[in-house]
Amino acid sequence: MDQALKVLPGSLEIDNNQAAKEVMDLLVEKFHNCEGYLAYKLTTLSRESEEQSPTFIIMAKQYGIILVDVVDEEIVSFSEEEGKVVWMCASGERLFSRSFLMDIFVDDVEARLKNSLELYDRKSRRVKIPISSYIVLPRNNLPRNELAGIVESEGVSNYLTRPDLDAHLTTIAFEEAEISQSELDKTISLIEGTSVFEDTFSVDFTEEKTLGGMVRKSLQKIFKQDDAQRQVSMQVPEGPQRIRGLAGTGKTIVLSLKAAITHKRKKNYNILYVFNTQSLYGQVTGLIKKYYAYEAKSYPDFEDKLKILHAWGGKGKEGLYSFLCKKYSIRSLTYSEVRGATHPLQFIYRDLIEKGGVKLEPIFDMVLIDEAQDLPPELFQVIYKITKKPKRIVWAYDEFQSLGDMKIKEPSELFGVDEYGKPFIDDDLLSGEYLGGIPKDFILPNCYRTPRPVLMMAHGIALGLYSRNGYMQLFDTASEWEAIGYRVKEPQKELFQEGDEIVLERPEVNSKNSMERSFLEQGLEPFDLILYERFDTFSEEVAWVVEKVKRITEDEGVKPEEIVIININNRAFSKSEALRIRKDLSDIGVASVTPGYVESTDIFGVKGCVTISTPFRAKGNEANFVFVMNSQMVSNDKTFRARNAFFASLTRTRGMCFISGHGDGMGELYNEFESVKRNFPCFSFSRPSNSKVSFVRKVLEKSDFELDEISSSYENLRSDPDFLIKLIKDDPELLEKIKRGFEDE
Amino acid sequence: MSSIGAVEQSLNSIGKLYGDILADSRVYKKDREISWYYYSAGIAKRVCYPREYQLLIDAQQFSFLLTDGSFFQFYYSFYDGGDLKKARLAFYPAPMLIEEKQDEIETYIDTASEALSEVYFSMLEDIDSGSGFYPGKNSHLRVDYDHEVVSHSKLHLQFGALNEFRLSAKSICLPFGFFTMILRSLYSDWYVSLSARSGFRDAVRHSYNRKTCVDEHEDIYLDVGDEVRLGR
Repeated sequence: MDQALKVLPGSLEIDNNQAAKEVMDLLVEKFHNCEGYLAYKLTTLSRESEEQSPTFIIMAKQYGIILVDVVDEEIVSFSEEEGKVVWMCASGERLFSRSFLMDIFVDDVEARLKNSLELYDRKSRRVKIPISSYIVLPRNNLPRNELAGIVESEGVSNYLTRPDLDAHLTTIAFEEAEISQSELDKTISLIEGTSVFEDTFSVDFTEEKTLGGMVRKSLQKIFKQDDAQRQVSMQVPEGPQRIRGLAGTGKTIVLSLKAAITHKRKKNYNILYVFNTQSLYGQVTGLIKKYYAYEAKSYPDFEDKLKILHAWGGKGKEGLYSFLCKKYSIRSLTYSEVRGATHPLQFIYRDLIEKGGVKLEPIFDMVLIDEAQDLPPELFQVIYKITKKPKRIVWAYDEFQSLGDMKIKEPSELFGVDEYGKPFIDDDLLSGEYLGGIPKDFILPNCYRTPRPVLMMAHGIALGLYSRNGYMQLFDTASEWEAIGYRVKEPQKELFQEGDEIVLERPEVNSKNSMERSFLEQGLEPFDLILYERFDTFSEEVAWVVEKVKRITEDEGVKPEEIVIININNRAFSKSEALRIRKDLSDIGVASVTPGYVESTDIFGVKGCVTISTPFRAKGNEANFVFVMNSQMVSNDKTFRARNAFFASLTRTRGMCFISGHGDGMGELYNEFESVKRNFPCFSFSRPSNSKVSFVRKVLEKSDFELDEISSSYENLRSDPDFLIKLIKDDPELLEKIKRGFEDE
Repeated sequence: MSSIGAVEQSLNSIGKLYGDILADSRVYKKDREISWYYYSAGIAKRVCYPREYQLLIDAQQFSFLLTDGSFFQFYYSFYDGGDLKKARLAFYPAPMLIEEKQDEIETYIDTASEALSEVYFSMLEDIDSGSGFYPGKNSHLRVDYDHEVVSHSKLHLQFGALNEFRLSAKSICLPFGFFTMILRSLYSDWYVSLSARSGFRDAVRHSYNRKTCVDEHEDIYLDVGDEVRLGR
């Protein structure tokens, strides 16, 4: 795969440009062995319209940059009029000289490349990457050397005509080159415009040797689109598409870029971007604005054409729900009407469907849904109704966000069925590929945010791979593991069975966070990124955390706002524990905020302040240094919810994490930590018995409320063993079941 | 007269003697100014008290945060010569809702005056419409001192709920005294246990002896801090 040319078809499928498709096939045939990209209308280089830019751009190690413009007209002559060169077409059409436009475009490509000294020699004032350009005239049958009088010959570009196409481009000697991977990477990011997300001109003076400096340094390098992200973000699909990936794999940036390029290319499209976490609003508009402003030299039309909406919205701020209610004159439910509902979002969308389901009509040409795993099916049904054919609905799904919904919801379940029971979107609509070989069900395998050891610790503990009784085997196929970035070494088959010895490896290439490498360069071990410690009491635990915060802020150049402390305990005392930590930090002169307890819930990472949070509130946020406290809850919790919380907490980290806990449960968990560390970068465990697996599934299917009920009844029964024994003795059927259960063990 | 050193000492006493009830301390000194980290001037107008409180707490605008969520602001700036230029001592209680229920308000209307009925009716409408609006019943209070002001008294007590009303004062004690007065009035349990600590009386005395006095003759006077003087 890495050896082959990758295709970025952009909106070619929608444009349905047959001449371009023909040329693309020939170019793919010609260049398929090159390392690099062939892209359709990748950029207009800051021009308002894409009319004036060439049809294809090839960027490859073996050739540098090749620009190809396909002119789907037969050209018969040219003339100069008032300083312009005009091409006459057989159809009677008059075109501004494409050759002249290409000259300007080549200059603009050079101008972009000059932004990097790696690609530009200041002394000779020359760009180091060779650029060649071709104008393809598929409707002209004369050989290219007989075009005199038909097109002008002054331009930098070469002409290709029908005979060249018929000869599969073998008649052309493309200028060869040799450019390095890093030069190619730089070239692509400058040309496609994603270089705006890098801090090219900022200089960091921090001492790299401190922890704070190392993390910040590693984050600087972080923005670089990888192949997978680029392929999917630079494409406008002609139908539904699902994008799967763990937290930190770049789902939001992919969706934002997709929104921005579609908005730019299809000015008349109505586009909707919808999400669930309020804090995403700023991030998404920021990404789109930055890219769009650079590429189109104008401001995106957020008012009308490109709507970025929170799923709900309210009086103060428009959301999808309030937008639709207003549009269709449906009275929107108020917060207090919804307050009692278990799933408020589900409740309001159900109400919307009941009140206005028939009114809803297709108004959007494309809908992008972020955080799909957090949104109810009712919302998807509404989206289906308001999206025009061919239902360009793109949703990003993180299947590991909630262990309760571990099984990914398939489209038929997500979008529901019509009155005849036929799914709106069939599951198999997601199988296969769009033009350019881009899967309809796209997986982003690379994790950017979380360093590999931290991610593996999070997975290992969350799934209880080394736990004596918390074991949960949820992925039973090799492809499920591969989807989250693991390579299955053993057993060599797709479906795992009871008793299989399973060995998985997480290849380094799937973790793009460079902290692990920085640590190795400093003579440290990958697992030095994770500190874990057990204590007898909560007080001792707090003292350790406070001491660590003090040390890294005073000696290691870490800023307080880079630190998040997450308290796994979400039960009684969690507020007083948070305030206790705040107070102890205040006593050593470190300021902190406790969002949701004192400050508003969206106050996160305030300058000069450590953030003290809960796993739920920390969701969607990330930090360079993460402390996870009260981890003993993980091994004490029979319902696995604490394991889920542990996973969510740990994966907030972009740099280092500090895990602590106290009391009895911590000893067992400590052993699990050690096992993860010992096996790194692999997991090695055996597939538990079917009965155990089905028990775990049973627990996961229960709601939080049911689990609470069961736990408290159990605690009650446990408190009086004699009574419990009597009860069981009087129930022979239950007694038999219990006996059998023990024999199974 | 309050000097910068005296103010600092008084703030230190708060940390020392009242540390148990403080969730966070943000006192910050720079040159001739004592305030808090990320200090910014200004008061939110035309918003309800819970919102005012939320805006301030989210922007970290406090010197001391109490464990119940209430907070204090202490701001002082001095002239180069050492005289007090401006001061602000404020208390923001954690917002509370009215305790009345819908049916209680309905019974009030039976006998209420016309104007008051209007108020009750609009409260009921809000409750009915589901906007969930219940008026908060408390507000902030503050003492402001501005040596240069001419349009109104230099030193006065103000309440958030009646922002244009200024109760002029003759003198103002140091932060510890102000803090203690609030404790004594609103947190009697804490006051009883904390005031028994050694050093308490000295700190009160200090904060009263080093009070700032103003000499203005044409207004109502209230000796803020007087009550605390004797540690009653």
